[in-house]
Amino acid sequence: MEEYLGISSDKLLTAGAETVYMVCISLFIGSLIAFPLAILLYLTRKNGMYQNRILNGILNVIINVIRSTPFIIMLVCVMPLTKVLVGTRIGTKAALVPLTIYIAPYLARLMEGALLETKEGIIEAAESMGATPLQIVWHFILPESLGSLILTITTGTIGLIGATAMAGYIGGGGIGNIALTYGYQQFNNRLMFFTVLILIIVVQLIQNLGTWASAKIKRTR
Amino acid sequence: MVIELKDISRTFEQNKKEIHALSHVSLNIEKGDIYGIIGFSGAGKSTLVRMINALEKPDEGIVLVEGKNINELPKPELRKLRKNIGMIFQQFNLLESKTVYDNIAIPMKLNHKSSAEIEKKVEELLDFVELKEKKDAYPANLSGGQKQRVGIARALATDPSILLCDEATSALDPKTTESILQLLKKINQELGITIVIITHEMNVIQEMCNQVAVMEFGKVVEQGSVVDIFSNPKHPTTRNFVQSVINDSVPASLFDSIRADERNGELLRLKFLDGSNTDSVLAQVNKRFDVETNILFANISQLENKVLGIIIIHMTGEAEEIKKAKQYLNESGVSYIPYEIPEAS
Ligand SMILES: Nc1ncnc2c1ncn2[C@@H]1O[C@H](COP(=O)(O)OP(=O)(O)OP(=O)(O)O)[C@@H](O)[C@H]1O
Ligand SMILES: [Mg+2]
Repeated sequence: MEEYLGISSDKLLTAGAETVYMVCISLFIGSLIAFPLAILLYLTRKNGMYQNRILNGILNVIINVIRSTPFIIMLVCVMPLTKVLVGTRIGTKAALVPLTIYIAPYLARLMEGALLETKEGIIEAAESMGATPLQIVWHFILPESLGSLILTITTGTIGLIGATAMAGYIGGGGIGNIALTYGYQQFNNRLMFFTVLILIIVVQLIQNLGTWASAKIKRTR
Repeated sequence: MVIELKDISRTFEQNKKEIHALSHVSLNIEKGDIYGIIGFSGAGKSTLVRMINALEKPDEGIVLVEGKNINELPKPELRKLRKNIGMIFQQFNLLESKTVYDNIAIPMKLNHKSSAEIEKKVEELLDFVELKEKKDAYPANLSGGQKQRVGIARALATDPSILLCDEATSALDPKTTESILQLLKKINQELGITIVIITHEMNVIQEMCNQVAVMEFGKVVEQGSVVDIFSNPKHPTTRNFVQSVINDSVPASLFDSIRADERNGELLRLKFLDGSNTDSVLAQVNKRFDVETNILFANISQLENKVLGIIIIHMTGEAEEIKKAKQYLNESGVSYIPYEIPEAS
């Protein structure tokens, strides 16, 4: 293996673990931030249950600004914040901060879309039953959009895997970093293709898993 | 009076154009009524029925439900009132992600009922709407009629005293429509629930309702008891609707022969309601008076458990005899109106 790829399998495994670590933690924290944001966006939108143009407008601007910032620039910009939050500017742990800030607004936007998929008639039925707005969200909108929400998490995960490749710039490590530094920059084509292949397979698996789970929940058999 | 709508108006704005969905509509619905609202698409029926549970608010006018002005109620009070008003929809509006059982359980979950209570009630309702074996099925695997049964069970879960049905059978085939209408009747009779039915099909009104309002362009053009409306529709739209189930048009060729008839005569549209014996009254007319009656059209239909007979006759004879015959009809409890013969084309 080492002779074939020009890198020890230990290094590869470590890199894999780093990627999994970065993706999982930032996905988890990112979702925790994104979900309430999405619900807030949903409730305060025009004709929403708690229509509030100012709050909705502010949220939209923040989300759009973060989403239009290239990740590589964000990596650098948030460094002071990273230092405060995790005590260091470099390393795998440090990469979690920009990754989370990158993924949260992205997920929030996708989740908002999923919530908006709930049919108007369902909400009307809920209102006719005398449900409170919170009950409408919890008992009607969430169950109805759960399948779509799972797809948004899937999309978010795949986006994160792509972003972790750039985390190498601040010493985040990971599979993508190996493809870049050992493979691309050192002209080790064999290693580069191997790591890219692994990434393709992982992304495929995640996508299939997400699609399957979503379909199962949506019961579109 | 369970539901009172007083002079309701509602205007929507769409693409800078004003749409008068409702203008000065007033309705009174009594306890135990099956009240039908009929009209063509866009007449404002849905907007009107949504006033009753305040899903829609009037620009002008007052909505009283059980004596309360529902648009002045604080939110929690309004939600409490809505639990007393069930609603079913043309598109069923079931949660696709939940089983039949869970769909029916939702309104009770919102009321924080215990799961034992919920289970008992859901089983009861499943029995009532005859859907026991579909308890664990998902809506995607149900037929339209079964979905509407779930919708009905869900609407009944909070023991409402009013049920609103917005085109509840419009997405169903005639046979399924029939079975859903039977179920709604059962709900009215066994549970004493006041029902408001919106439809564009007159046969639904004929079969179900005791009161009806006919809507057109945001206005109620005619309203009254179903028997009255069916036996004597006044507004052209109402006539159209009534004709869709009782087609009392006389073939043109018959008119030709009546025009050609040299004798003195009159066309009459007779209305027999229950009790009055159609055959014998007409037989007596022919026997007692020097007139001849010629039947051009006859229809017998059942409305609100009453029998309504519509007969169009051509009565010929001396003017004096016809007058006497008409008086006899009156005395026998048969009402009549002159029937216009269309101009020869
Ligand atoms: N939220 C709304 N915004 C704008 N226009 C509306 C709205 N709701 C209803 N309208 C308009 O009001 C009119 C009456 O609508 P409504 O839905 O009450 O009719 P309807 O009699 O129920 O018709 P249908 O048989 O098609 O359901 C229509 O012209 C419709 O386009
Ligand atoms: Mg409608």
